[in-house]
Amino acid sequence: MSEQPELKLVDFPPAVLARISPELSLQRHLAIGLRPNLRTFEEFKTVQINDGGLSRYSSTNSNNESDVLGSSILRSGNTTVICTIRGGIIEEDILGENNNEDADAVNAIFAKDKESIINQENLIDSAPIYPIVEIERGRNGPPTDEEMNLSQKLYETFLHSKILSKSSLKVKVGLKSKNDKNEIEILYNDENSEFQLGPKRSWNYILYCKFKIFSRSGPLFDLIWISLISALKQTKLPYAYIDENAADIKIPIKMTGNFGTIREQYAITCDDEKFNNLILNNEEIGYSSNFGVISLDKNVSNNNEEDEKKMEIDINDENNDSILLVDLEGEEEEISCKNLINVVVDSKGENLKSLTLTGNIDKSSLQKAIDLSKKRSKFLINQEI
Amino acid sequence: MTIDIPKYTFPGQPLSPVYQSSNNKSIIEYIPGNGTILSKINNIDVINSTLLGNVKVNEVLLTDEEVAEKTISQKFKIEVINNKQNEYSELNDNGIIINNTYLPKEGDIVLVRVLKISLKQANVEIIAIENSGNISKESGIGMNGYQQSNVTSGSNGQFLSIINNGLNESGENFRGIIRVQDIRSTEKDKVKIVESFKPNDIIRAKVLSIGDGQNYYLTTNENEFGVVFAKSQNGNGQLMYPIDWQNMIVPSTGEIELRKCAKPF
Amino acid sequence: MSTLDRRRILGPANVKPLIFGLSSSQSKQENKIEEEEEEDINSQISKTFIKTGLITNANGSSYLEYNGNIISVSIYGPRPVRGTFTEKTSLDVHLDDNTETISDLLNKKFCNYIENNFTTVINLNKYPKSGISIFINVLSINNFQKYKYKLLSLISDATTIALINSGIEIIDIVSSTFDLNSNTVISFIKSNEIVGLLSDSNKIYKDVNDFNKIIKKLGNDSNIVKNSLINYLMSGN
Repeated sequence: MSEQPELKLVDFPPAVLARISPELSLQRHLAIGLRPNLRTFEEFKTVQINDGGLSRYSSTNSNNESDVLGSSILRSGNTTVICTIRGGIIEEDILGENNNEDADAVNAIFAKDKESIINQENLIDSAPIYPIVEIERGRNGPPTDEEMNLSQKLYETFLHSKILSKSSLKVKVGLKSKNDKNEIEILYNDENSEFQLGPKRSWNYILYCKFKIFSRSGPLFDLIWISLISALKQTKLPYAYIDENAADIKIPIKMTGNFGTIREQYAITCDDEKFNNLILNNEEIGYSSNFGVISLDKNVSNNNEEDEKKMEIDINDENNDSILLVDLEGEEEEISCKNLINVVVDSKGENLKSLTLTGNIDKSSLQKAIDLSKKRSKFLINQEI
Repeated sequence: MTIDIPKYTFPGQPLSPVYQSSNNKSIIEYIPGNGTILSKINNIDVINSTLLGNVKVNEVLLTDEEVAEKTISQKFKIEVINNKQNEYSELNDNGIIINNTYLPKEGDIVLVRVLKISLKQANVEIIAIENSGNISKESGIGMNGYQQSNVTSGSNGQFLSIINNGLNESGENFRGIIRVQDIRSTEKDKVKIVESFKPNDIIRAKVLSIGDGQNYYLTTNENEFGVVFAKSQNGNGQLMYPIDWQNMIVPSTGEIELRKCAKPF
Repeated sequence: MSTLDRRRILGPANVKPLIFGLSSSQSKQENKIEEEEEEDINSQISKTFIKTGLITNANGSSYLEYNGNIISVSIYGPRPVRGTFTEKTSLDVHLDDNTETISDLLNKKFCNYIENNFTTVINLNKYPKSGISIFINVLSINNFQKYKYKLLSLISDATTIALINSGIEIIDIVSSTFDLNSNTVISFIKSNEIVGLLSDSNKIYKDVNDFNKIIKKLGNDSNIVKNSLINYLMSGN
């Protein structure tokens, strides 16, 4: 078609062309071996992260009354992800076996399916985290599909990665009381092993994480995952105690419209100063990478013979005109790439923690994607973010 | 006495009184343009800046009446151009850049996408204003969490299930209408919408009026206006190139489709 | 957040929030330093960090950090509104408190204050058939009980900067100042015209003069704030 030079389109500024026809804009870029964001096909975006100083335990935070236990602020390109970890305390259910002699008999009837029990045992020690993802884009209302998808995926990936054990969320409860000299002191188990509360009562921390995302420019799971891991590494769990005086009293509660009282047996208060580090299963921690597979449009790339030569350099497999793009970014790539891969690996890069495929992906692209994500994860681990 | 007009300004800064006398005692009138507002300081009409940016002062030709009256000798328009870059900044060296929060007005040139066509009119959304840039900062990707598929779960049926190719369907863009009589200037009675525009075409058009609450009214009845970007087979085929003012061709297959093209030559 | 929210993963229902024991005595001294500093507007300004345009998918944005308070404001619009023809733009303000300390009622109050401040200032006629949204994100708060209106004055200043960054036409710079003793925030434009005032003092003023004094003091402070905002804006060229 180059023999008909009069066939031409009106010129648009690049950003306007990207809006009008994202596919064409992307194909024109790919044809010269570049991506619209000027990265090469297999170049990841750099990530900067710090603790953000939002946590009460952060050294840079002047606000030590906050109830945030851990935080991180991540920047990658223009995108900013702010992650805050908060906690709650839940009283552990007392297992039926412990106080019910008929438990075996009950289980025999209601827990017939042995296999499902076995499956659950896989996760029995893995603690979940409850995420809320908010992407700021100038609207409010119910969470968008993307926010819900991200929360769900994060919840599942985290639980199944077994990064957090239930045992590390146990609350070691102390007792606040007045001693002989009428001074208030708090006794903790580790300091005074004689002191024990009733054996049947135990409490666990529950962790929540909230993400606030500004300037979204591409798929977010990778970034959210990094910021979560980083925030968890900073997270501290406070010591907690029961106030002798507050125990076993009636506490008025307010529920929507109704006032009532509840017989609260133990009100747990967290220690203002003392804390433990949150223990993570470091060997399970790996990072996430995303990929898009796109096929080259011959019509665009044939436009210019010179471009074609350049293109061949970039495509390893000559029979295959599909290109693997890492770390998608921008309107053009997101709209045009319908075939997506997301890989989460573990710390050694041996096992996959999560693999999501969307669309039509050939074997070689998949293999390449997995190899790249292992490298990427190693790189991020070494960066110690 | 003349007052110097600052080159770079911030909101609220007085730029110039409306009337100034120049050295030879003739009176110069200044009129407020974009980025400025008329206000009063001590009962004197003053032009104030409303933006952070560069001040532009351009001479405006006097009307015949004003020349006859001889009260003012010269007239200038003061504008403030926001210092933010926009999509057209790189291309335009001649400085015709409009502030990127600018909204379309009568006579402005816009790029629109055809949403639907009927016998009487084409409904479009405005995607960019020429010299000002794209309308919204972000297109529809992810706006509704758009990813690969958009499945509405049974109980949450109120979610919009939008399966499209990622275009901005969230109602975020300004809408417009091109009526059949505004498509071209000649043989208006013979114009058919289907022979001029197809859904998903990109059209360069001029704003006729800001219209009603829903739509701007647009026209393509000049040579340089019309389809600038279209794919064959209702958007399923390949990119087409204009060969004359009413035909477009797919070079590789030779398919020809009817369109009202913008300035093919 | 209701427990019936099925769009978010909320975790178990019977969780109790963490309650921390009372702070130890050392923070009292810090408070005193803060109070003294509250009187010195210049030293406050020198401790304030502002950055604009960080949020790229908004029309304009600002980020403000002062003494443990972190605020991010983004402006979206002018963008189309549904419904009948409106010749002026409408303004809406949303405040999202990431720290979960601001009550719903105060949140409303803050939003109203900001909305009132800026509807008088934005050149509404320029933007027919459209709306402008102001999204305020409070990321960190320092001593909210005592300095809640201080936070509001910071939010107001951040909003001014964000609006200017967005390129939306405003007739003047709004500068806000806070008085600790009377727990008052006032926003000024031009030469001491008041566009917004909130006061929550439990003191009873003997007469109007008392309050005039506060207005005068804050007016002076606001001029200093305004000048430093202008300096910041002009230096960004």
